[in-house]
Amino acid sequence: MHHSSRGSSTSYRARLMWGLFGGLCLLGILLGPYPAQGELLKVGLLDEPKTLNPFAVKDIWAAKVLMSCYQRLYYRDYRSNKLIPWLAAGDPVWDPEDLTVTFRLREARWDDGSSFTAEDVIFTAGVIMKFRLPRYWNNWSFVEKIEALDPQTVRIWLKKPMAILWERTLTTFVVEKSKWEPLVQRAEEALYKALGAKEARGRALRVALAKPLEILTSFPNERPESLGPFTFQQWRKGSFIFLKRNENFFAKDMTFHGAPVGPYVDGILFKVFGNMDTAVLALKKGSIDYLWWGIESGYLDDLKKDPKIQIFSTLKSGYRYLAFNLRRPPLSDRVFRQAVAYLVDKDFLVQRILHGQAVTLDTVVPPDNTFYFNPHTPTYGKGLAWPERVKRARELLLRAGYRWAVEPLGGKIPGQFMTKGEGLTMPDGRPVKKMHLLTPPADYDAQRAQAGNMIQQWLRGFGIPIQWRPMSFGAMIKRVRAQQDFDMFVSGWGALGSDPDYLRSFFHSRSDRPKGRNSGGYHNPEFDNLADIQAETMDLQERRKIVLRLQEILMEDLPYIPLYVPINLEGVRKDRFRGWIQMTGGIGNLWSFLCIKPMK
Amino acid sequence: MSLLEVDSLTVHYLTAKGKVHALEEVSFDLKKGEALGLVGESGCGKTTVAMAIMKLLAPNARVLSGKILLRGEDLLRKGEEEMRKVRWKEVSMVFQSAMNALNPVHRVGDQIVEAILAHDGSFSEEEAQKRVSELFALVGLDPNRMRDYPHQYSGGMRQRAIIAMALACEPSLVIADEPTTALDVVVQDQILGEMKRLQMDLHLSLLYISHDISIIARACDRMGVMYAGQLVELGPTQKVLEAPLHPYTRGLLNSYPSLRGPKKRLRPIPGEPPNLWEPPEGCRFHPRCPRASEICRSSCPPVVSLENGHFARCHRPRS
Amino acid sequence: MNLRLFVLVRSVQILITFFIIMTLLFVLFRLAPGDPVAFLTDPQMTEEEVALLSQQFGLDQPLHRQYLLYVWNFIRGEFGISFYYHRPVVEILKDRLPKTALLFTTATILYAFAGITWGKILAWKRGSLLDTSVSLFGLLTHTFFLPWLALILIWIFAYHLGWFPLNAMISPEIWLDPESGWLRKGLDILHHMVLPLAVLFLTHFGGYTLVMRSTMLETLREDYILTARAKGLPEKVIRNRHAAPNAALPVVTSLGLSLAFSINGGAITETIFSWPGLGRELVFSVSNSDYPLAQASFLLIAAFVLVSNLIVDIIYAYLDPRIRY
Ligand SMILES: Nc1ncnc2c1ncn2[C@@H]1O[C@H](COP(=O)(O)OP(=O)(O)OP(=O)(O)O)[C@@H](O)[C@H]1O
Ligand SMILES: [Mg+2]
Repeated sequence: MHHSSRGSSTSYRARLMWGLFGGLCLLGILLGPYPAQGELLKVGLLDEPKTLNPFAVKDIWAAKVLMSCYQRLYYRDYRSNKLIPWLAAGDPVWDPEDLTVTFRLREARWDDGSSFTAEDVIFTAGVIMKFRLPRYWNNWSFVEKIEALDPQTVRIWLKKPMAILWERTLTTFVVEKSKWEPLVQRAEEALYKALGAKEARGRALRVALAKPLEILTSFPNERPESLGPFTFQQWRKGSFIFLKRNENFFAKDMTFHGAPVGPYVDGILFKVFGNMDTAVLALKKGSIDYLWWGIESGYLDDLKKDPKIQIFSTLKSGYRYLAFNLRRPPLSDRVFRQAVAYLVDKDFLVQRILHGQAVTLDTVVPPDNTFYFNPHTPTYGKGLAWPERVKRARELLLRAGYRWAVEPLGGKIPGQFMTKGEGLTMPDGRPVKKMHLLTPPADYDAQRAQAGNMIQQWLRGFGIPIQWRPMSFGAMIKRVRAQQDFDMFVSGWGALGSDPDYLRSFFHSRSDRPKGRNSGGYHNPEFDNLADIQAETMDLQERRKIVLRLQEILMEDLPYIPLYVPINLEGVRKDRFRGWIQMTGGIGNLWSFLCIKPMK
Repeated sequence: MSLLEVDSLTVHYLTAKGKVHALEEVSFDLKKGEALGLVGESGCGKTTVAMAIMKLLAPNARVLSGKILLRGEDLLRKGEEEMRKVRWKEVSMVFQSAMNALNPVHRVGDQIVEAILAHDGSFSEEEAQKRVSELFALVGLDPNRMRDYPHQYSGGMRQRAIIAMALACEPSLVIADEPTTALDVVVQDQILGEMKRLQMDLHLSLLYISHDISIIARACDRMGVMYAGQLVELGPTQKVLEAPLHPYTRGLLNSYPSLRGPKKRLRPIPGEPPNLWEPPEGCRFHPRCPRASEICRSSCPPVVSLENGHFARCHRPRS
Repeated sequence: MNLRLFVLVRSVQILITFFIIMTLLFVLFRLAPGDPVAFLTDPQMTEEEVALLSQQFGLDQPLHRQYLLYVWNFIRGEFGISFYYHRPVVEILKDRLPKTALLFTTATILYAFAGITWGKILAWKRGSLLDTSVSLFGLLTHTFFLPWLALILIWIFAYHLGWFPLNAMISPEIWLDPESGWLRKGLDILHHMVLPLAVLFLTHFGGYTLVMRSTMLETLREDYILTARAKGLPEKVIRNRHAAPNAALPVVTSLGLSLAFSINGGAITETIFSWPGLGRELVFSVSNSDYPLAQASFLLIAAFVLVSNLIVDIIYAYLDPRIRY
């Protein structure tokens, strides 16, 4: 032991530590700022992709990255609602007699150099159909078989006509057969082991599919193959993902609305941020060029002041709604729901709660779906002042036989009452019992929670005994979906896509079962019938008519009161790239990445 | 010349309740090779004397006056660094509470080695280790146990280790502050014998502090008796024991059972030792003194010398 | 009892405790509101698909079967597949743990070291200007709200002065450059660590300093310190060799625990600095009802707490010879 040296060595170490710390600070000054990387598009993501396996993807961040790698046969043009041939060369040929659709493929090369063929398309479809791949299976369940007529031509036989063929089936992504074959073989073996040679259906099939699906979807696919404008280079977990321009991109000679397609950037660098605060700072500082998705409106004023930043606001492809449990009186009464609709002042909601960062909605198809959106559905009290709304709602109910002990009289602004309604009874004389209005809590979605609070206030003053009850999103979904034990709730749909077949899934009486999507229990034979017809109408114009009619029916029956469509705020650096293309969903789309050009 | 000369040392402790008059005009000297005993009841200021010599008084202590001359040099005027060199090299100490005087996280041997190395640069680590094992043998400890930790020692062993430690730098003066109080009688005896032997062999000066007059009687050439911060009697042990001058000394002798002499009835001193915040006017012992007179109540008695080298602080010493 | 036996006995205790924690976790997770299936589904899925998913994850089995499956899987080292990532939980944890460990172990070492050193010095110079000012500073930073402090530091040092990166663990620009050697990459990570370290340091060092200061003050009153003084040892030796080791003992105990808790407590730091660590993952998995991932992370933390307690016990025994087993 060297006692005498002990003391001095401790302080020496201390000095060393402080020296090191000072050195680090100095180093920081020397190292930063980093040299700007010429033509890389630096994109801020709020979170990291969970998996890059296209068969398993369900988070938006992965979808954003994969968009540039896996390509689709067709794209739907947001302006004309036409299918743009992408991996396919030319429009699909529909044969209504044989129920087949045939299309040719373009010449393209995967980033490993091998060529893209009909085999890849058939393989991808085969995986989806064989394993009933969640989310995609629905788009292929009506397909009888898919075959290659030659290496560049594919034909699909349908069991029955199905309209989602156009916008769902033909817009399926394609994977590279040679890469995925070994994995799929393992999944097939597992399926064979579970099933043997037997045919299985229903639950037995579901059980048998569990293991193969797990094999298939748990593959992380950390290096996705690419046919697209960018090829996948590197993924540093938790930090960044880097894509490089694909010099062999197949669509280089194409134009997009007259403009030749690039890509003109050398690559895309996705940086992962855990929180909005630093992401916004990074945009202001120029560490990223584009903050993809969802800038909270609180940051808006600050960002607008920055001359180097441009804000794009785009309507989201979804909406928020107030839903009823149609199994319980008086909610089962259409007139009652209409009266509620009179009392819900959507304009006021949008102004007060969303500070104008949303638009009101009077149907169940979001307006960015211009082709199927019906702007002429029945509305309730639209544009009317509050006292008038209260009056109409009151008269509606009085006419239907509802009675109050004290009738409500509206005050000046929404929510105010000269006299509050009391003792509301139903036409059969029974009192309207206490009801609950469920919303997610404020920390999950402050706006939905506030909307719930506001609606409670409006209905209560009117004499409807309602209690707003915020609860965790998961718990709410359980109550609504699994137990169907609720009166009203405020929720939303996001990323609905362009095909309106979701209406069928939301409101068809077939979907009224535990865990089904028709959790409100809406039953209307006319709707059911028309919804089934639209699903099989292959002609777009004809289908459109039916879908518009469906929206009218729904807005008369009001299983939902649609509230508003939120706005998506995105920011880019003005001094870096120009030529962003704004369309449904915002500016973060393939076309933007293909068309933006560096400022220099 | 005396090795150590303490000259009218006055020490107060500052406390929230007021000043503690811990030492008042204490004077004595100690010759080379001599053993001086200090005896007195608990709280009379014995440890304060020792600590003042080591200059290790508590931070709230104030030395108001006096000198502490070691070989003629006043320790009270020395700076901290100079004093550091005096400690252990010149004056070492055996502490009252041997139980906690050793650092529990270091080996016993190392704690002694450390003292040697801190004072004598000429020692190498190995030499110091060797010296420690000699010291261990000297105080009757097994040198193999040098590498043990304090908690592995018995109380007696610890005390011996501390004595070994005190001898490590061959000091000229060792202050032993109740070195054996915490031990049982048999071990007490052994240690006492050991100390006496070492003092003789090494020709040490020893300042032996105890409240047990019989121990002082056995170990010391001269003895001083303290009462309430004052040295009330000082003289050759034999004389003090046989013909005490101060009434307190006499009371003290009467209250102790004699180990060897004929059995007498014990007569404790009536009353309580005074509190030192407000010591009594005049002679501090007068409230308990059987012979107290008017003068004892009003004026502080001077130190008088009745015989050669036998002093007492009393107005009416018994002659 | 010798040390080996002690470790053995403690290990058995730890195993039992761990099993109890495991069971508790299972129950707690199942009691929590929210249907995990709801998080896995989106509007495009049919009910068959939803059923298939829950079946695939064993969520349709009765609770006791789920429990047995859980224990059996755990014994086999199978933590299952994350609902959300669709990837083995082990893989995710393996990726996240080292990053968390890097940041928080460094931070813990730094602030514990600084806390012990400063506490020691302050106690020694008790009542001086240095003592008052550093104690006050420590107390002040200790009470800082961590996210607020982090954002302030980011704003000043990263955004305005540009000395340090805003967030993240590495800069892609450097890691993508094929010419970057390991030194440059290492320095890059260090560079990114400075701000989070500073935040953790500032919020923690005060606590350690004050604890160390008070135990040190107590130690300085011990008799063996007086002995050391009497021995004429230099001041620094008394302080560092005689007082500090004894005073540091209780601090060391709290250290082991705090290191373990920093893993989950670090979620906020990790989120603000986009540090790809375990804490962030844990919070995320809990709010997403990602049972397998959340369970495994909690178990990992439990294991970490238990093992670091054992290690602290052993270190304690090493530091304090009085403790023998
Ligand atoms: N640091 C201190 N602050 C205040 N008073 C003190 C302090 N140290 C000692 N005293 C007081 O000074 C007086 C003398 O104390 P000292 O320790 O010298 O006595 P002692 O003779 O050694 O007693 P004992 O035989 O019990 O060890 C006592 O009354 C004690 O209470
Ligand atoms: Mg004493």
